[in-house]
Amino acid sequence: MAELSQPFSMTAPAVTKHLKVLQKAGLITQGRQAQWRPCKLEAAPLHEAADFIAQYRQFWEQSLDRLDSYLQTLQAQEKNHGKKSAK
Amino acid sequence: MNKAAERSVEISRKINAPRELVWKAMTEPEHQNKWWGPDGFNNVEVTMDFRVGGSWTYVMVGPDGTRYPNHTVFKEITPPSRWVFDHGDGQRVWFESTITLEETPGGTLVTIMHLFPSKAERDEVVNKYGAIEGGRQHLAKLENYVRQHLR
Repeated sequence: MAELSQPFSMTAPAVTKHLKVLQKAGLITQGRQAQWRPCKLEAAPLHEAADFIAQYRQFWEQSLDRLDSYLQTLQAQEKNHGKKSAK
Repeated sequence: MNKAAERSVEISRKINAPRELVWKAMTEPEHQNKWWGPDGFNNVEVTMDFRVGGSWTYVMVGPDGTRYPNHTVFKEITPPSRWVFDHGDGQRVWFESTITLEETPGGTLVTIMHLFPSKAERDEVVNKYGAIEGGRQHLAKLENYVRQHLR
């Protein structure tokens, strides 16, 4: 714990607490080796979450690109319509 | 760790158009069909009843012909700034979404937030959207082919 918390400006008990949360989320597994509790990062769930969120974000970014273009077209059309209806 | 943050996705975009027009384009079916969906997809069999308790249903057809049924039920509507809905495939709700429109000096800030009820629901959508990713790659291949052979 002392080793793990050293690089961070965080107390050892705080690091323990965070590790417990990560473990509960299935993102790390903790082994046992004498007095060490080596932590292994289970990257798969993180990758999945990142990929899925990336896909979803991409879906929306594409739709929003098209919404933006569509709105520019709509506004241009409304402008022309305004010019045509003479005062 | 913020569990809700793990279960949600937020996307925002500033659009150069007045809020009332953005509202129209996002909530009226004849406008929605012109921009909604990933590249290469079409919406068919669209029904739209934009009121609290009403629903918007459509089938997204991918470039390879795969059909994805979509079903939205509106829960809150506050024109012209916000609406909240449940979205799924007609059999199950995948997530709840909140869309807000904010007036800005340059136009309108659109924010979309999706909240997934649990990891299980999110995982199911991963599989479904994995299929969409496949469709997208298909389209990328087609685009390449067109660029190379049909210029």
